[in-house]
Amino acid sequence: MTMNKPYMQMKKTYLSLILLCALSACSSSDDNEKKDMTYPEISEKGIVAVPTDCEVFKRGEVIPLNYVFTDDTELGSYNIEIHNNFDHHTHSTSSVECPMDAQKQPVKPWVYNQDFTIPAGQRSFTARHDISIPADIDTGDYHFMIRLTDRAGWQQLHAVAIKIIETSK
Amino acid sequence: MKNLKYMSLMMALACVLSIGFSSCSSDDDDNTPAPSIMMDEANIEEGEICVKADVYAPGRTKAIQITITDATGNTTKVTKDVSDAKYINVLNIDGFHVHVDIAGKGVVVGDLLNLKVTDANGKSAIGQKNITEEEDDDE
Repeated sequence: MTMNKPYMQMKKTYLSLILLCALSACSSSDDNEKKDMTYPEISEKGIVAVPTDCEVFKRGEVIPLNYVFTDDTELGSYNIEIHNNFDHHTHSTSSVECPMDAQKQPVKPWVYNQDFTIPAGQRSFTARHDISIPADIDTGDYHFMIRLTDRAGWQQLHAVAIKIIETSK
Repeated sequence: MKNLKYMSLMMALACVLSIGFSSCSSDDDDNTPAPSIMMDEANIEEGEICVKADVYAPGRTKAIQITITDATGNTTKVTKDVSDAKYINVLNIDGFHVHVDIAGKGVVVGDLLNLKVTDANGKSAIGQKNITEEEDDDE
């Protein structure tokens, strides 16, 4: 029994289409997210990072934030938070011990909390901002926190101990 | 006859593919573990409670709520929803750190703090810690 040529061609076309549909259905859009099992990185590669542990800044001036963010798949967003460390608490992301002022109660502590979005499709991004230090805040020890989140949802924390001092007169 | 054979072949293919489609569907949601929480600190500090914890949420965090009750858990004194963007829609929170205002709420040492994390699949977990005095890190 032999089949005619047009019939065989039609059969091949249908089979190809069905297989193509099946392959498309199985490749979901979030495959990349499921494969991304790596935390993003906050680093100083190729730059002079600011701030770094034990760095001192003056009230009324700026902190020129400078860090490099990388991820093996895609970066997402980051958050910068600054809060006082007048009670000498720790965040255990650094082994560096900085000289600290005596413990004290906050009167007008500086609180900074800002979210930033990284443009889509980036695997490397240099964060560079000038963060103004208010002139009337409590001086003393502070924590500068960077939280970097990749598109998959993995989050990396980098905590830096800094000190804010009086403006020079 | 050719048509009958062809239709049979297509039906068989349809059955195979329907099984294939269902195995490709996003049934991972049901298997994704609920969030896990490791409580680190729930200290009273000058009219606030300092809450610290580590969170792992394979289904991504969707909602976070802090509740403070008396030691028996029967009377709720404070409820706070945490909606900071940095803590929502993430797989992990290393160093979750939130201050809860308790001024005038009658919160005392020994009360129970509950940290509830719900993920995008609706699964949730609660971390608990009794409230303690602020520790002096220098001692």
